[in-house]
Amino acid sequence: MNEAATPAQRFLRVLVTVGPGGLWLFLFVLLPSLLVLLASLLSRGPYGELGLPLGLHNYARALQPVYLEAFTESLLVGVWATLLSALLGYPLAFYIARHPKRDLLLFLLLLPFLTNFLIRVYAWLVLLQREGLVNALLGAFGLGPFAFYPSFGAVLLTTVYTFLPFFVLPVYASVERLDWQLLEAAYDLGARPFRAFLHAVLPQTYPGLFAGSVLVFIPAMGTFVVADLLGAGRVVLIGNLIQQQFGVTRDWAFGAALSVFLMGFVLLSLYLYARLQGERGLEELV
Amino acid sequence: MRVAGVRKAFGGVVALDGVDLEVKRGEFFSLLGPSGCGKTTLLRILAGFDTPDTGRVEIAGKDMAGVPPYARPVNTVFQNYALFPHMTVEGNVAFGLRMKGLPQAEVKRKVAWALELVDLLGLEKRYPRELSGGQKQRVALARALVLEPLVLLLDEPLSALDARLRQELRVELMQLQRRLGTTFIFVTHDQEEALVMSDRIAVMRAGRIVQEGLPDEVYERPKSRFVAEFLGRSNFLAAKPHPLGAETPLGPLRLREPLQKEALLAIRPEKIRLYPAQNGAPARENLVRAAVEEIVYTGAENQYYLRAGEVRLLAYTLNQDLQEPGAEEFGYGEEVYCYLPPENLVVVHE
Repeated sequence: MNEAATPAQRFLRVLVTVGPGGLWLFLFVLLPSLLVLLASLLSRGPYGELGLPLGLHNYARALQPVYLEAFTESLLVGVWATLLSALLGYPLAFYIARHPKRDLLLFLLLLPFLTNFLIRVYAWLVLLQREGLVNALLGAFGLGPFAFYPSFGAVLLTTVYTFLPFFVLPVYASVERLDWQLLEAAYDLGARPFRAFLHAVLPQTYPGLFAGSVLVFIPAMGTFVVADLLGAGRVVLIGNLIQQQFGVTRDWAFGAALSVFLMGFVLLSLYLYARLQGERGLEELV
Repeated sequence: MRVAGVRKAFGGVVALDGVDLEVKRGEFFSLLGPSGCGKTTLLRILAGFDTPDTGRVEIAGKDMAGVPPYARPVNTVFQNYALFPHMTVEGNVAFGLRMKGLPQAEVKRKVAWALELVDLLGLEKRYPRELSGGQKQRVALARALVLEPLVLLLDEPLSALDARLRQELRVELMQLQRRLGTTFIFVTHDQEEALVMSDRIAVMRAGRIVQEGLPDEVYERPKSRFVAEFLGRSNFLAAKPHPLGAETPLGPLRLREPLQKEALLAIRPEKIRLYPAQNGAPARENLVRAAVEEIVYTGAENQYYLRAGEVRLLAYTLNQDLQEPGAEEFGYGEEVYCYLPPENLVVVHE
């Protein structure tokens, strides 16, 4: 770089390099967020439009027990979905990464994405209903029929099904880069298989685990279609509430407040999670 | 440590083809050979990472069959060090001790001892990514030595370092080995490294040990053309029996013992003595007249590429002060007499 650049030249350089990305971020991230934030401070007008007075009343309303309950339920779905995805996805990522036909397995993992999300959710509805395939199968063994749906379990199952690939892919990327010699080094230094895994393999996959958890937790908490269809009104998540405010109820101001609430919570939990992982976790997050 | 009849094949490719080996306690033993000769496979079998198809490995009189790596009295220094990137220097060195379940105070004491051994005190809190290649190497050494293994296995530990550092660490490794009295088994493809450091050397080729012995034995008395060429350079002469010793393309030459049948002779370039032809032939046998074709100046020595009739010879002379008696330098095209000492003409097989 030329040391003797004038301030104008330097400004131009920054503009050219950071400019396009910055503009994108401003237009599609910062501006919409600000609009939502602004809307959350307004009130619902007589015809469902946004209007005055300005105030924090929407947030006060969001803290009422009814809404907090939906919030807790969402948190529960998010946490459970993340845990179950980890339990299923972590070994799966290893299996795929170490399989000679891993390209094929990766393709199979992503195959469901070729079908519309809604159709796949409906498919679970069909599978789990009273006359569905699962009950028919169990019936052949003299079991059931069970009322799998609508229930919290059905929502959770479908959520995990939907977001599992988002957990597997980042872990897979970590496993592919894994230095297996570290495992041998751990054995060599006297570590038995489990402890060798714990000290030599697991830490190498932290970035993948972290990314996978974030990619499952955030959408799992905010999704409303799955809860709508497989919860059939019995499972009300924060996503459902927000959708109702913007749709049926036409209270955009309150919907915006719930959105901000959710965003704030997700950001806070990500921050805490990253802090838990130490400085490197924070770097990953940023 | 004993290895008997060890064979190992990977999917039809034979990596080790019947290896027998005995290493004495406290020895610095080198496995020398080109890449793919099976030396690393042998090391991995000793460490317990691979199991031999047939054959037996004994360490300190105990059969190692079925003994996993974590239960063997050996430790390994890996070629790429294999340090744990998420642990500090201290954490890396303490790892093995923690796995053994030693109390915290003892771990601390031993880690300090090991770090002092490899001259790394003061770097305890650094992470591997903050270390230079030579420092990583020392951490890998300390991490293995802190467990006080009976045998330390070293897999080309110096090959990733630059030439100068390699020379320094050679000397340090030798001193360390002598101080601790630990048996070192050192895998390398660098003949100079093996010659400089080892008490004994085994030269490997295509899954077999082709020669084993003291460094000077292996260098001065190579048994085969392969060993003669792999360790340093050699001149080769096809020879037939002759009353004097051997009949060669250079004429009859005297040997230590006369040849009984056709054979190949080898002589090291530095063993050939050169005399200027203008002074007349010195009164010696085994003299060959040759002309200088090419001169390579390497600093410490001059390498002369000579031609004697159809035969090309390579001879080294030390770059001594020309005022000293016997010190000579020759020019391009100059005629010289080459003296091939009978005791340095070695019979080798192809």
